[in-house]
Amino acid sequence: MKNSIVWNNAEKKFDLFHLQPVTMNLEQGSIMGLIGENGSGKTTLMKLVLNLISLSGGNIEVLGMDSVSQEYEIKQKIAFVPDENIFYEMFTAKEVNKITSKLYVNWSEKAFFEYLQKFEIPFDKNIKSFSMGMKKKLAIACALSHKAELLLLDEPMNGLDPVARQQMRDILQEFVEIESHSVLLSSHITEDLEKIADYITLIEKGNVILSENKDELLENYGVANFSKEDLKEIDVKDYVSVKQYAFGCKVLVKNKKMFLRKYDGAVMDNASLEDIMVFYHER
Amino acid sequence: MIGLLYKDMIYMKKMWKTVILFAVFFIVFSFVQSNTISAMSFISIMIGGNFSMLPFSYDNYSKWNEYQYAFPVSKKTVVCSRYLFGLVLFGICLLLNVVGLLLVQIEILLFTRPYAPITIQYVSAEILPLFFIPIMQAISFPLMYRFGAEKGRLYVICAIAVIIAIVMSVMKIWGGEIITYSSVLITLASMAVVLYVLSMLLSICIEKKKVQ
Repeated sequence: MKNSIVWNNAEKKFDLFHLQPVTMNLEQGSIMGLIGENGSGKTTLMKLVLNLISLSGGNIEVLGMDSVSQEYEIKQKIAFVPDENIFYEMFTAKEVNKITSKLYVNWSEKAFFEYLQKFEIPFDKNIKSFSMGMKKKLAIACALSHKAELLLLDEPMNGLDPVARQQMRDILQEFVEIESHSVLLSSHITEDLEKIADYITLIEKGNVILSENKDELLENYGVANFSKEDLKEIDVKDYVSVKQYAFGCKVLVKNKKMFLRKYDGAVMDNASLEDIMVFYHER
Repeated sequence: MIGLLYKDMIYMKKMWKTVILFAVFFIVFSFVQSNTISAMSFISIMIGGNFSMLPFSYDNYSKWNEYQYAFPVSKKTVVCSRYLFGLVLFGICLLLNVVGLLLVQIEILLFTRPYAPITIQYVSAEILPLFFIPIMQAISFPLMYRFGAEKGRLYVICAIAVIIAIVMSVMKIWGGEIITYSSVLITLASMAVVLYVLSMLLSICIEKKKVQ
C-alpha cells in the first residue's frame, strides 16, 4: 500500500508551542481523522504538509514528493479546505471559478459547476449571503474540481447541520473510493470520524499520542466502571487515566480483553473516540 | 499569476460604485475650480495610487493572506501579480486621461475660439502627474508587505508626506525654472520604471523572508 503523506520526525517550534517530532503516515485510499483539543497542533500538522509554515526539523513526503522542494507540484495535486471561507465575500461562485481555473492546471469548469448544482449553490449570489454549510460546500467544490488526489480539511463539519454533515461524509467517502485518493481531516465532532475515518490520530499539547486504525482502536479501547474502593485494587499501569465521579469512577483501558482477563467481573463499556480524547486529556 | 490578477480585477470591478463616487466628487470640484484636466489627473492618482492598496486590506480581512499559499502559487508570483495589477490600474488611468484630453480638445474646437492646437508640451504637462501612480505604488507596496495592510497604510502616508516635502524643497532650490515638460516627463517616467522594478524585488524579498 502506497502512502499519501509520510511524516518523518516532522516538528515545528513556535515561541509558545512545540509540535513534537511526528513520525506516521497516511495510506492511499484512506481517511485519517485528527482529533485533539483546541490548540493541540492539528492545524499546525496540516499547515506543515502544505508548507504554509516551515518545518523546524524532519521532513514530510506528500504523494511521493518532498513537501518543501516540490511544493508547487504537490499543490497542483492536493486541495486544502480551511475552517473558514477565504474567498472575498463579495465574490460569486462564478467568479471563484474564474480565479481558481487559472490557478490549477487540471481545473475542470464542467466538474465545478456540476458540483455547484449538486450542492445547490447559486452561481451568481455573493458568498456573503451563503450559509456556513454553503461556504464549506463551495470550498469542497473547488477542492474536487482540479482532480486532487489528497484532501486536507480543517474542521469541515464545524457549524454544519446534521443533513449537511451527512452530505459532507458522503462526499468524502465517494472521494476515497478511488484507490489513489486520501483525506486528512481534523474535527471536533468525533461522531463523524467514527463513521468515516479509517485511521485516527490523537494530538495532545503538540504530541501525537496515538495514530491507529479506527476499527482496532474502538475494538481494543474500553471504559471500565469501578467504585472508588475497587479502583485501589487496579494497577495504574493497566489504564490510561481515571475520571472520578460522585458515586464511582471510570478508567480508560487500552486493551479491554486483556483487562477483563485480569480483572474478572469488571463492568466494561465500549470506548468512543470522544472518551479516548477526553481520558487522554485527563491524563 | 493570471488567477491572482483576476481576483484583484474582479475586486476592483465590484468597487466601481466607490470609484464613480470619487470621480463625480472631483469632477464637480474641478468644474467649480474651472480646471477639468488637472482634476482628471488628480482623480487618476487617487484611484491608481489609493485603490491599488485596497486588495491588501481585503486579503487581510478575508484571511486570503493566510491561506493563499495553499494554492499552487509561489511568493514571487503573488507579489508580481500585485504589481501587475498596479500597472493595469495605471494603464487604465492613462487611457482615461488620454480620452479626457481628446474630449477637452474637441470641446475647445467646437465651442471655444480661437482654437489653440495641442502641443507635446501641453500633453506632457497633463500626463506627467500620472507617473506618480507607479511611484506611489512602488513606495506603498513594500510597506504593505512588510507591515501589513493596517500599519502599512500609516507608513505609506508618512513616506508620501516625506517625499512631497523633499520634492517641494528641491523645486524651491531649483527656483521654479522648468526646462521643458517633456524632459520632466521622461525623467519621471524613467524614475517610475526603475523604482517599480526595485520595489518589486524588495517586496519579493520581504514576502520570502516572512517568518512562519
